[in-house]
Amino acid sequence: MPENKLYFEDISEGDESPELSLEVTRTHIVKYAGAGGDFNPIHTDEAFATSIGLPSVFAMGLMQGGYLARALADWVGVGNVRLYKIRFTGQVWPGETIICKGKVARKYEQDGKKLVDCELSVVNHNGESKIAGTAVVALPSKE
Amino acid sequence: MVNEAIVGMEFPPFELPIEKGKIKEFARSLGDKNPLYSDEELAKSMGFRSIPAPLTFTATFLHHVPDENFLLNMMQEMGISVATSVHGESEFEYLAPVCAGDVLTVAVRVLDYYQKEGKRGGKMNFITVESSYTNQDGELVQKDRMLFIERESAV
Repeated sequence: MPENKLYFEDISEGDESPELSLEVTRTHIVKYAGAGGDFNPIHTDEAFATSIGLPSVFAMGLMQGGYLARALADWVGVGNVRLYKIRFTGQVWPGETIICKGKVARKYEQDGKKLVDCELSVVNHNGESKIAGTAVVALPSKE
Repeated sequence: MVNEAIVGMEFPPFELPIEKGKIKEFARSLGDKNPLYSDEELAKSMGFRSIPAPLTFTATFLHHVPDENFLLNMMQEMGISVATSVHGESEFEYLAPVCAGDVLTVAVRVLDYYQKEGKRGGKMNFITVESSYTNQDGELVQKDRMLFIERESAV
């Protein structure tokens, strides 16, 4: 899917993004470690993780942060995002299904720009929070 | 031990080249099939100078440029314990596009520090580190902020 053409006029407060959902596996974590460079063994080495009392390895916060960013960019266009802010509220363990989504909280104009504030979240299949986030997006206008 | 003296601490600036191959690899690692991250002609047709960086792409420098242990070394210099701290928040402020072919200069500094009583006793340290990215044309293109939360032992 190329850059989405979403216009300011197309959206309303309360609109929701398409959901991005996936079951996180150790392979996802290792792939992200390879590309992102975070080889902290608590994320990649099961023997190490269990030796310090963890149930298993767990995902890097910026991995699920990356999936949420992907959902946001697919929805509003990567070039339109002005601010992306995320708070890590829970660790993501292999076998969990995560659901990334966004919602329009506010639509307004400021300094000649057409802006949208979004609320973002990553939750697991039981609805437990993993990330609470916000974004500010500047959208093109049809005018 | 972390204290307010770290506010304003700066780390030596370094160059971060934005590479096509690295963008493609990063996007793939997140299952992102958007052709914008691999097709330069498509990216140009949509108004980008070249392939744009995915939203969280810049954060990878912490683990490969200027040193694969940059994050660990930085935490050590600030006096943050890796064992009792977590990465609590991340914020990315996009001022202008970051595209393949750009060479960014990255300046990292400690923006803020405060301490609070933890809910389960003991003190909690909150440290915000900001990375500012300036491109080859001298334009400030992005600022990232990371919050570290450190739990001090109650003893």
